[in-house]
Amino acid sequence: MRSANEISAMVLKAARGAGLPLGCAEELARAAPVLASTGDLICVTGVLELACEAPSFEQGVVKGGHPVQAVVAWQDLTAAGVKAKLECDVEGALLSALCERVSVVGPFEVDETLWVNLSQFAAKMLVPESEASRLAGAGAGLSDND
Amino acid sequence: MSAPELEIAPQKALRPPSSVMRLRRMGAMFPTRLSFLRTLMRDLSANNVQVERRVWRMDDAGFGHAVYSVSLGGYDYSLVAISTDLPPDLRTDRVIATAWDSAYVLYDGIPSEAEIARIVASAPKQEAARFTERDLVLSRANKSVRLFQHVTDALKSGVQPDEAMVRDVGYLMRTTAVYGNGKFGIADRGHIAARPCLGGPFAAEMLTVWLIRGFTHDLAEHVGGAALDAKLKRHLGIGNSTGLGMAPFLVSHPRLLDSWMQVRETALARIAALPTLKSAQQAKILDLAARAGRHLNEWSVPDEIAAERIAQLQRDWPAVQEMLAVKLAMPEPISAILDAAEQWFEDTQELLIALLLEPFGDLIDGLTECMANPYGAELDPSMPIEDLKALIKRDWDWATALDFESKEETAQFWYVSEAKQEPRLGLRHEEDGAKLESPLDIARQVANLATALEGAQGITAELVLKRPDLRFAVRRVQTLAIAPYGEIRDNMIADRCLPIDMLRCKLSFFGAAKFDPKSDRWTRITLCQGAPLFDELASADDWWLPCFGE
Repeated sequence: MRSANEISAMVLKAARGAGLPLGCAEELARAAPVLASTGDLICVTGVLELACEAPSFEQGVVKGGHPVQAVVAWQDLTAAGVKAKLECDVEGALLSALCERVSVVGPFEVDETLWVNLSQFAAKMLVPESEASRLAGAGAGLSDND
Repeated sequence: MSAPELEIAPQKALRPPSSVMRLRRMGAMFPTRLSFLRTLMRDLSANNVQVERRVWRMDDAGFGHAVYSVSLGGYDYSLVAISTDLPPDLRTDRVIATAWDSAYVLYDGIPSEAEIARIVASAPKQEAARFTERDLVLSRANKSVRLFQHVTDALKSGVQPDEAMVRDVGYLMRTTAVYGNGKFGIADRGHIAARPCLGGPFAAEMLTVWLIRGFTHDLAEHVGGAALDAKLKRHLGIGNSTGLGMAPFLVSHPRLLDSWMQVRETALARIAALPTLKSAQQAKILDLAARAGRHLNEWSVPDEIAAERIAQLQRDWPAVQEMLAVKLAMPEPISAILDAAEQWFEDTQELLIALLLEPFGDLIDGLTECMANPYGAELDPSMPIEDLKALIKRDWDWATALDFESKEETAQFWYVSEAKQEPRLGLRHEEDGAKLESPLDIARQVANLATALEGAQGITAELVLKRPDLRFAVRRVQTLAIAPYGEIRDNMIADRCLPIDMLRCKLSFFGAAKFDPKSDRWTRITLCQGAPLFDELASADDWWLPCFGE
């Protein structure tokens, strides 16, 4: 079982690791607990494999690009009162989770393989450290025996 | 029958965010009666909370476990405390440690034997274990070896511990992490957000910390085989070591930061509007000023910068007291005092503000209901680009004026370390890893946004469709327009950025005092010093900046 906050934080890191622009990664992270609540979190790993490209918007149609970016862009336009259609291959669960903007309270069951997969994307944002950077970077001493 | 008229307390203008939200000033903050610990103590008192020690299974050396329960706002909560024998070579107060003297879980309800056994087995492993939604908070603490040993030795030999040593150290144990909100499988904040008394920011964490403090007293008395003098006990708070891990929180929660600051600034604006003060209120302020002076004399730290600031505070304070004696009887006295305080440096001003809030609970305590904020940062996709530009011009001059081509303004970068997945700060021009930096470079991102907007037209939705890389910065700009205290108005990647200032701000909202910086990026603090003991909740609200023995 994973808490909603854990799921959201993990997906934010994974989406950044996959190269999604931060502002879009945040949208996916917000949607992630909703996906987990319906057992649909698996669709996240699918979209993380895809190339991160902005969609096009021509003649009233949002088309192409990364599905998360396309859905977010289409939603923005619609919310701003711009008539727009979405032509994008995106799973229904992901589409509705990105659009719904509800918040849910965990915990939810998350498949361990899926979690490991997300962790691998997230790990791309981690910086390996040397002992020197560890000491300088955290600025702490080592002993607490006082 | 007509509806009763709403009575809104008059208030002066709030101090502007351009002054309040600077790192230097945030790094000078003191705890106030609006701090989360103080609010919790008032709630515990109002609810007539009794702490029950349900389980005490400790061997003579003080190793074993205990369970304490309280009933609060219609719910039961229990602290499960585990004390283990830790070899000195494993004792480090950094978050990256793997073993501790003691471990804790704040449990939702009264734990069964099976649940106690589960927690006793898992809590000592901390991050390496998994927890359940019945576990609300996870924490651990190490002994102040020097003081714990001294206190228990003294009690064993039939005497009370040395007062000077108790005064100088101030705690028997210090926590090195207090985890809430879903970490490692514990309950999401959503579980308790709507509950009475526990829905405020970090209320569950503060309850945990206060219960841990009481446990450390019980443990020392158990090992020492005698009771500690109540005066000494009251002075024994709970220490805490806090490092960089806490710093990004303020940046990633702009709406929440705005609420905390607005509550404090609104409280200040309310008391500034008071036309006159009663003589009892004047006397209380003078009394508190004297106490603050004694507190400053008890606050001694090795860090050079911090020590110099404390010394400056000590030098300023007699003049502050003289000024108070003159101004308190004047019309609009608080306003006059705030004007007069302009002559001193930030630390003196902030100490004075924390002090001035103290006697006016009736007027300002209710504002703490607004400390929690369920809202996140939202994007307004319909905003015309012209409006976005105007917002940047109005609110972000402190960011757009900086030269991000210079080494000074880009000297540092925030990142998450591979080894322990903890936030760290590196030197951009000397270390690798800046390509993976964490987004605390808000000022630079908004400066880039401002450049990108030159010549742009249309609406926000069209902009972020083509430039999704700007979406984050756009959201920050739009959020600051509705949450004016939500942004730290300094460049967090500049060479002059001291993370300790962010820590001090957040910790002061917790109610921490006796800041004892160990570098510019981690600090020890004391919580609950002078706070009511388990059996003292009836009179629970006069322990702002406590002094030993009072």
